[in-house]
Amino acid sequence: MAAAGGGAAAGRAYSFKVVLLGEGCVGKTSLVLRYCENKFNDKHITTLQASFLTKKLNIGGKRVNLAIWDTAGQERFHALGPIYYRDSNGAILVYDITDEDSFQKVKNWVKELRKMLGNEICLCIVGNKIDLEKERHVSIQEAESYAESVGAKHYHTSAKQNKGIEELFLDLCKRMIETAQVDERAKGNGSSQPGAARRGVQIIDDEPQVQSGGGGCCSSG
Amino acid sequence: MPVMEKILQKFASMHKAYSPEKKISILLKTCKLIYDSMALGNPGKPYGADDFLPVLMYVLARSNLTEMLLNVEYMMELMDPALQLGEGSYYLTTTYGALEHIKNYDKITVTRQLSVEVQDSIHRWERRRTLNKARASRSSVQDFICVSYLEPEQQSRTLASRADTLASALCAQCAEKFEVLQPQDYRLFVLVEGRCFQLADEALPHHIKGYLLRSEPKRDFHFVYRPLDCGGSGDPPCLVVREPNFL
Repeated sequence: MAAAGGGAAAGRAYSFKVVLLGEGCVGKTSLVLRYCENKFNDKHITTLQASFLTKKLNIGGKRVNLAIWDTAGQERFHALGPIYYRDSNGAILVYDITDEDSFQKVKNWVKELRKMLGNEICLCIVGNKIDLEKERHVSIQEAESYAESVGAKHYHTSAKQNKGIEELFLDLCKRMIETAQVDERAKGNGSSQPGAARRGVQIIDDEPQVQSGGGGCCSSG
Repeated sequence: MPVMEKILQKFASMHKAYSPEKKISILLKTCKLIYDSMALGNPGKPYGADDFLPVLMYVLARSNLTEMLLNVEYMMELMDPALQLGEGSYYLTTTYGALEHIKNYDKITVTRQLSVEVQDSIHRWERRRTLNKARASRSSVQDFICVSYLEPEQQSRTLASRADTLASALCAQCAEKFEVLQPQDYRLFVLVEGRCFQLADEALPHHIKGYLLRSEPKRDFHFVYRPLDCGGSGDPPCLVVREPNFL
């Protein structure tokens, strides 16, 4: 189908799964809550707190449904990582700029993700809490060059001041769309073959039962 | 009633529920109860996975673990593939992870890794769900056949039967399932897009089902168990078919 390459054929939407990783207390939850809160929807009876959130976006006419999976960051739950990140299209790896140790944890996750999933997953490394710039313990240069060296993008955010978050998610979505399009092209026109689902990228037909109200716009500011 | 008791009651009702969707919906309600109870100490604070997972594990450790493991496996195997990226899938995955953590507590603490088998079973579930997505249809499960009583989509039962089961044998199964008193007056019919055919006693229902499933364009069909004279005197009698080539 011609639609497969173009991706944004009318009546279709991308569905992406994004997993949030990072040590406890780095602000993963605040970050995603900040991003989703204006869409936080209590009409949807089962919407529970901030461990699982969804967001709808429209990026240049391409509709995207994001499912954001939070993970427990405590070291003792490290082993559960794979059941969450498997089949994710993107991973957001969060550290606290005032906590060097949390940056080290991010590096460990990157290693593990690259080993398990290769280059198919879009990685974002996020230095959160830039409102605490004075207490910074992770140098910007070190973090950015590390990110580049592993093929990840680096972002600076403050969940508290709502800085950098919109850009982070928008950018990630664009990259996931690109990856999905490359995938589609590589597969030729086999749009709905099982292989398509291997990484969890699903191009699904649009259905009227779109759950949250609200328009499909990505601005949340 | 104390929250813990309420939660355990929910788990018990989840165990009793039959449909995987129903079970998942009860699981979500239980998770909501857990969040609600967490909010008691700190109202308004949104909780993420950092906070939720330990509490879930605490609750699970006090539940009937054997039942929980069974339920989770059941839901993982049977949940609707369309829900794969949804909230149900998230909390099911989390519950699965929490149970594995409890089950292998000592091992996990040492190795920091889930066993290869556990990782593999998640993978298999996901694969199976995504692979089956295209053909996820109730009636397409091998070795099972969905039969309605009297009318299409009424009192449907999914019956296990082998591929070489004769219509007469399936009729006997239906008679028992639907508790009909005079099975000699009942037969198996297949309704294909408004047309009705009676299956001959020696017909192979699975053969016919397979043929209909593979036919292009897709046909809507239902197997119905009902009396021979059900159509009323005005209707012409149904064609009795043996081979799937009647269409």
